[in-house]
Amino acid sequence: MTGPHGGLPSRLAPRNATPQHAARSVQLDPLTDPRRPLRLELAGLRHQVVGVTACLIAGVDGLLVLHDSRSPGEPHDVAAMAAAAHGISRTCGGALGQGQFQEVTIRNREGCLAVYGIGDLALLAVVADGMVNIARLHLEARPVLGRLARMLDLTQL
Amino acid sequence: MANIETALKEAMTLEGAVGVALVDYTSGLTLGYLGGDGVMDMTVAAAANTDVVRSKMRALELLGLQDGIEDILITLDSQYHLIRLLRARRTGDALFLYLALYKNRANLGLARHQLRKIESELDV
Repeated sequence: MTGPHGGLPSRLAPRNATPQHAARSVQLDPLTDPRRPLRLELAGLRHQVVGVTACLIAGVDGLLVLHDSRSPGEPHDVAAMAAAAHGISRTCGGALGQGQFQEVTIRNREGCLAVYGIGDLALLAVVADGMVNIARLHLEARPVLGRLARMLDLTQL
Repeated sequence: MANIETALKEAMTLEGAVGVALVDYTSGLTLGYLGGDGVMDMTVAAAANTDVVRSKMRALELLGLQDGIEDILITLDSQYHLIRLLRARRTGDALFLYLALYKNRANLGLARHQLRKIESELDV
């Protein structure tokens, strides 16, 4: 899903990306914002599944690409944690000969973090409260991942 | 006492059974399922019906009824969907049995009675 020159996450989120940058980008005119379809997908997932509090797209390097603007908390931290979860999961997959990373869910007593792979270089991270229907979240996330993969491949952000 | 496999197999022997699943409604994930082939994906049914169970629980909460759900019956044009909640045996247990039946072949009264028996004998 990427060309020979440079990976997708770095193209989408430069290393100097800051929270201010993310906050500013949501002010863009909806008609001209090239990331609007991605934002709509994230918002859609949050609306579809009760209990989802934050959705974001991160690079596998832990840098934030895009976050659902209504999400509470610090999206840059979540992006980094998603990448860390992906890292250990990918290591497990490799060591056990189970192929490429697909998904990892961390369940805590009062909430969960689900991380899905979008192609090889991007991740979808979903933060949810303790009442979330995890099976439903996985079901709803599947088609979203397909669409996000196509959008990230097509749009030059 | 029956294990999950035995209980699911027994439920599938009911006349007109389409599919059966044992579902954890804290997560919507299945502990096991049988059937559904070509008619419905039982894992999707489990996730979707988790929301049904939760909605009914919320309704009872709003109504202020200090009561529990024994079972929920949903009648479609051609199927019966029967949801039977398991009485909590351990703290943190929140499970239900989900059974889909063909309406024209199943005996609802008998199915409900049998499902109660299966549930009482099920040891998770």
